[in-house]
Amino acid sequence: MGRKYKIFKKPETHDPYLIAAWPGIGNIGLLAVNYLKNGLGAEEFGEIEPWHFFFPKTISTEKGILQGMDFPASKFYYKKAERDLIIFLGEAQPGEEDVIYEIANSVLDVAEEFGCKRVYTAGAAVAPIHHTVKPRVWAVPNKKSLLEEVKGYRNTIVMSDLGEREGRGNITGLNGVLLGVARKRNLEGICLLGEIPMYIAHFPGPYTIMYPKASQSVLEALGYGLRIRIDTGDIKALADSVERKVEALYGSLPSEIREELDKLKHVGYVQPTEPGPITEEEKEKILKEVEEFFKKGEKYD
Amino acid sequence: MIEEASRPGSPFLIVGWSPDGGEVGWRVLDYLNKHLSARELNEIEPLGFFSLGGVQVKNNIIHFPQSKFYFVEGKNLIFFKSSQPGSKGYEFLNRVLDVARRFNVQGVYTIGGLVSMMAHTEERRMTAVFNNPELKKSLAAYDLEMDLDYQGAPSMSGFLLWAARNRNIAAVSCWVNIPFYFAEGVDPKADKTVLSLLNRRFALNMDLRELDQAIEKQDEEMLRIRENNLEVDRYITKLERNWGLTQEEAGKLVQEISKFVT
Repeated sequence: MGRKYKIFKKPETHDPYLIAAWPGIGNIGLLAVNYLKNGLGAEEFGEIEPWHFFFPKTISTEKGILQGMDFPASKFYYKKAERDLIIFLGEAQPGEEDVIYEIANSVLDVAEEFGCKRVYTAGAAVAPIHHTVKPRVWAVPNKKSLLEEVKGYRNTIVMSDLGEREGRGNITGLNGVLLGVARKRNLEGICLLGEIPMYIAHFPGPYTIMYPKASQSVLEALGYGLRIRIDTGDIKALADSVERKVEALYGSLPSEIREELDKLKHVGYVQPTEPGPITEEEKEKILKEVEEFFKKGEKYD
Repeated sequence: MIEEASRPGSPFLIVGWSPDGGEVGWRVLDYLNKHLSARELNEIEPLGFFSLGGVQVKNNIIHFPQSKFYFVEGKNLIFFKSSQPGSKGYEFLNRVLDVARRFNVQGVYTIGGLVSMMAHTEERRMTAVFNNPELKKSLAAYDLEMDLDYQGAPSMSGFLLWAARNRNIAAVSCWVNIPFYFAEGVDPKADKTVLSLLNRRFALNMDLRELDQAIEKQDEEMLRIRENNLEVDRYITKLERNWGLTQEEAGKLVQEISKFVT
């Protein structure tokens, strides 16, 4: 397997951490890590050669001559800070398992080339919560020795806190595979998943939205883990703006669906609060009703 | 495998993909294979490039991805007839270009159908996109639209042009326009337009009368449909007058024609 990445410059890094994100539900991880990159003023230093993994997005021709092709970008950035950071942002996730594995290995090849020993990924956790509730962050390490550390992060829970899950779960795509491959290479890895209300995660096509409220939670947890201060003012403003749109959409739902969804305001994982969390059966029913509502295109415009 | 003695010297490579508008690429290659008595040369194994969790069934028949090279003795031509890979496109295209390199190919020609808002009674036109200005110059005498300015969704042929340019292999993608209501069926006029170009470009001297018969048969069939279905006739007339169709009208036309034309 040949090298499928390019390094434009070789930053001097000391014991850096890698933070990686790709598009996903609500773009929670991508928003958070991109915000971090911009906030820190991280500099680009390399990229995965995307043509090995992705079909091009666009082609351009001029006077009948091929000019170029655009591919989904997969870029590396670095920032020297209290903790040196390497940031990876991918514009797309491949669909095929072997390609996912190959990209994960390429990202970690670069990370290890710069002496990285720890990796963070960020994404979404679809949860039975209400959009007015502050999303928590599910922290999933790839080694038992990291468990106590992540429990100390701000506003985080671990899988075993999620009642019926008994510490089990599944992290799809590169957020999970990267940390699996990291474990194989004996690198520390922690996945931070910001909660997104299940009904928002299941909004159909045209109503799909990003969910910066969860990105903010992820950033707060990440800042704690990295021991760096992140000003979350701008992402909070974005989250407030999206919340107003969600409120408008919520208000247009039929009252019986809203009443069902309102129950989610009282859901707590560790200690259920009255009137009690919704059942799996109710969850299915709500999702079906929300989906039906959007299919009909009632009220909302 | 091809015997060393009968290897073509600096041949041209002609490529056709499926799926394709009107399946022009494969139909043209099938015609070439049959009329030039092409021989199978090699193939690319599907593993890693195609989803192999099952097989597709179309028109009651099991389909399986295929990616085969053929060559024509004495004509300096290699053909590549392939399904479009679903995964690792760049690696796949480089396998194709490895073969091109191995045989010291002079140039790559891809053939494809360009689904267009046009009437079947109109003349088929061909558009070409090049990865190399010299190749463009060399085809200036042919009846090709050669000055396309375009930015948008790419095709597998466009990706091949780009990959070929990275390896300094000259390539051109040739597109023939196809009435949108023939996109899922066949368009012998489009096939003939492409084959006429290849006939001339590579001095193939192929007899295309078989296609004339197919064109005549399809024209008669379309005439009959228009006589029996005034809505179809009205839509096609609008296309002939360049008035265009709404999305709904275009959908209806496709639906009606698909009942008769396969």
